[in-house]
Amino acid sequence: MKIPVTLNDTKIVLEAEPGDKLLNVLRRQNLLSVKCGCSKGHCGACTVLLDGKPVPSCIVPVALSRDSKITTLEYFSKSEEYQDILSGFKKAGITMCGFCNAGKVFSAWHILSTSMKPDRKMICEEVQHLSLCCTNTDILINGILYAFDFKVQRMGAQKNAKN
Amino acid sequence: MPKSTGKKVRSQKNIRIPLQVHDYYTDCSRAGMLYAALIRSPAASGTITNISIPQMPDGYFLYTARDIPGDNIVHTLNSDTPVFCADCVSYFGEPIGIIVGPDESEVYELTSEIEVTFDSSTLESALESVAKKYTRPVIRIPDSGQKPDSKRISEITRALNSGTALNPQASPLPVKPLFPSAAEKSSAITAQRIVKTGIFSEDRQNASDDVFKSADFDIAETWIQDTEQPSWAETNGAFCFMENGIINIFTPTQWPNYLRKAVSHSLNIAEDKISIRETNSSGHTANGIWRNATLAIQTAVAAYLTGKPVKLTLSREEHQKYMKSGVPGKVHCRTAVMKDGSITAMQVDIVTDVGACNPFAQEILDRLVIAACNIYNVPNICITAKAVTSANPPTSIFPETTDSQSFFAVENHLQLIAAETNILPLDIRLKNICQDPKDIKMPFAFRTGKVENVFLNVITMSDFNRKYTTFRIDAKQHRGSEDTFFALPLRGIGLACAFDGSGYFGNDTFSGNQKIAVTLETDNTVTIHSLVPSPAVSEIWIKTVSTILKIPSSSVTITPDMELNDAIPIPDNIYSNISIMTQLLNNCCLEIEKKKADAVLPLTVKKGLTPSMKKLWNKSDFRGIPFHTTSFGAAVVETELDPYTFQEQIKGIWIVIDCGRILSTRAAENTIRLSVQQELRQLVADETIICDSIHISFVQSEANPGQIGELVHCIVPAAFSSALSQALGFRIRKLPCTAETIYSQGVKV
Repeated sequence: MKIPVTLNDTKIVLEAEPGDKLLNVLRRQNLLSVKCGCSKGHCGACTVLLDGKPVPSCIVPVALSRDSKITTLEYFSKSEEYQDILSGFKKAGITMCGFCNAGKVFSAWHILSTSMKPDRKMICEEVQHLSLCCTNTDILINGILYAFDFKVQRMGAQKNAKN
Repeated sequence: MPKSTGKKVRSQKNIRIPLQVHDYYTDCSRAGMLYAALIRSPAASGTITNISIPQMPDGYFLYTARDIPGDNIVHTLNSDTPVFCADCVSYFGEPIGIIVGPDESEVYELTSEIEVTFDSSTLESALESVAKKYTRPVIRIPDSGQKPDSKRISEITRALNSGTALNPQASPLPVKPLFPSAAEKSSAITAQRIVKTGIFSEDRQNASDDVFKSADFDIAETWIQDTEQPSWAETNGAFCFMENGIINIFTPTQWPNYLRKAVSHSLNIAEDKISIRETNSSGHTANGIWRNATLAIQTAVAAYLTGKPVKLTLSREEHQKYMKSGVPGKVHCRTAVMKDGSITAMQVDIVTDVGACNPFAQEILDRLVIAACNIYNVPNICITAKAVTSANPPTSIFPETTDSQSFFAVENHLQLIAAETNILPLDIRLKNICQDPKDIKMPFAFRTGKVENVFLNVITMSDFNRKYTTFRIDAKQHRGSEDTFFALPLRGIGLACAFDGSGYFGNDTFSGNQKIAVTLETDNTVTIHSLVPSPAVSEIWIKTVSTILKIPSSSVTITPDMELNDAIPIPDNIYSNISIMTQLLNNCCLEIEKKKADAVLPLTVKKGLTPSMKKLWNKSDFRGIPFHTTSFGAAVVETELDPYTFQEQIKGIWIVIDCGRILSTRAAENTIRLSVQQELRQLVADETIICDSIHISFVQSEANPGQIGELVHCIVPAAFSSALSQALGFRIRKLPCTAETIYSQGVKV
């Protein structure tokens, strides 16, 4: 089956069986930031952005992504938002182990992009389902709060530069 | 004779090879790569009689034991296991062969089509196994003078053809089967340890009976901790390919030297033709010491025979079924206790099920025995421990949980004693701790530091004594009350403590082999020659070097390259742990600092454990100081049950740890928090308990830094089950407990 998608800002046609997991199809495209963790959609290791929303690609049949915009960490890591998140994580002492990075980063991005001023409780509710192998929830919350600070600073600086 | 060019040429001996790669093996690939899947035994025991194979498409291959170029044996310490099962199946899911091919889903499809038929281990097949050990009977042709008994000859011929010929007169050759059958293996004791002191060492039955009879309380209970962390880390497997006559193996091994030897035996090739690359492992359940090695060998066999790159990745289901972490076991404790809370005698029986095989069974057992009485000073002890084999998949050693079952048992038992004797749990513990080193009656001694401070801190932080007493009164008032509508939440609080020993001296193969080298280079940078530890430990090491040698952190690098002939002979997680290696690194830096003014750079200093340290533990008598360093911690867990749904909640966790000098408080706290988070996922089956109130404190001292990561796994389960027992008024003897158990007991309350 041919499935047209916009993968990391490039229009391509994926060749796959309709029931194939999006995770496996993306890994076949050599997008290795998408990792196979629990295979049940719990752990976050396989998270990608599907039309701007973080989804566990291990439970998404590839046919559902037809005509969608898929973003993986490989592409997202070139963005300014990623740099904010990375700086926040670094300040909090979060290890980027390479296995659960997608879950951590896309969860943080989702919170930063949907909340005007995230607080600990709200972040905790958003991230406590994640089963991260290297980071505890407390430190992840700190990292996201620091990332928010970096985002605000960057946007402020950009606004000032325009003025 | 050719003239020398004046250039230095590195000899083959000194070629440095990278041992670690910062990739996951699942991310490695090469052009023309084949995927692999294992064919597994569908039964736990029996003799394979036939393997029916579907028509293999072009480019797909099946390899079994008979295809292995070298030995079909993986030799690990004193244990032998087959690479592929050749004859008798030892456990459910034992690998029988490997299928490789270019399409992963097709490979799995083919695997499911293969049918393995075998005789189950009935009396009949056991007899057949015995028959196979006999030599074939010698058939003598009768002398020409005698008339041949044609009937008998035809019977023998028929019997030989059918493979059932037996000659009861012929003495069986003492042929030892390569691997014992399932029947032989089942429930065999593979390791044992008995420790007796005081009255128990007198070997007088009445004497030990007397000590329990004369006690005010005789308290006995069996405790089982079988928790397993649900881990979503990378599943086990390997990626192998041949290049220029060298087989390259990418796998998350923690013992590369052992893997190289094992592959060499199975492929029948020289060790220098094998290149092992240690890939990232994303969790403690990586099985990287031993179990994953068999998978790496199986993949290497396929890559060697096909000449193509091969990747074997276990499915999540396979990983959970066949590569379980931890060793299930149960601990029975019996104690003689006086009215003042002093324990006069303790009898502990430990039984562990190590599955079909575990090369580390003796070490696991010894560690359980050492932890059986925790830090308590009991004058009369009798500890018997045995590890038995079974038809379950083989098990391995996991540093996080090696001795946690003993701590779970002894700490729950102390809480039980406190309840029976009406003494506060803290007082029971303080009463039984040795105050004066001269009064030690135990065969084991630990450098546990400020035990009383740890207890006092955790008790004060959690307000333990007040809560414990209040909850006890509450529980008494609740019991039997029919008025549940206005019922208070059922509450409980538990205390537990444990030590975390690092650098165990009792292992003959590994103890004392830890080494590290530090080089001060000509450009004033420093290189630490060691496998790169975890990011937290790396940070500590860099900080240590930077502080002692007064150089910026950016000038310190940790190089995982090791000289080919000096590859690390030991697993790099258990035996090269933070406390020992950090101490050795510290000593290296101090020596460099002393010498650097007069020495010519580059200056390299190497350090290892001294023989005097190893003598602290007497292996033959099983007594002395078993660990290089010991940290000590205590935890209090407060639980609350919803009065209607009996859903458990943890209101707070308080942890206090004395681990000597803390090199990075942030890293230490993060480690503890992550461990608590992991532990909360396994206390109740299929549930993750959320706790927002975790309080961590460290008792600072100038002693050598100790390990802390494993402490949480030893103290939190016991504190949780004690708290839950108090809330329910029912003894929680087993973890993980189930929501059904809690609900059914809650309804009774």
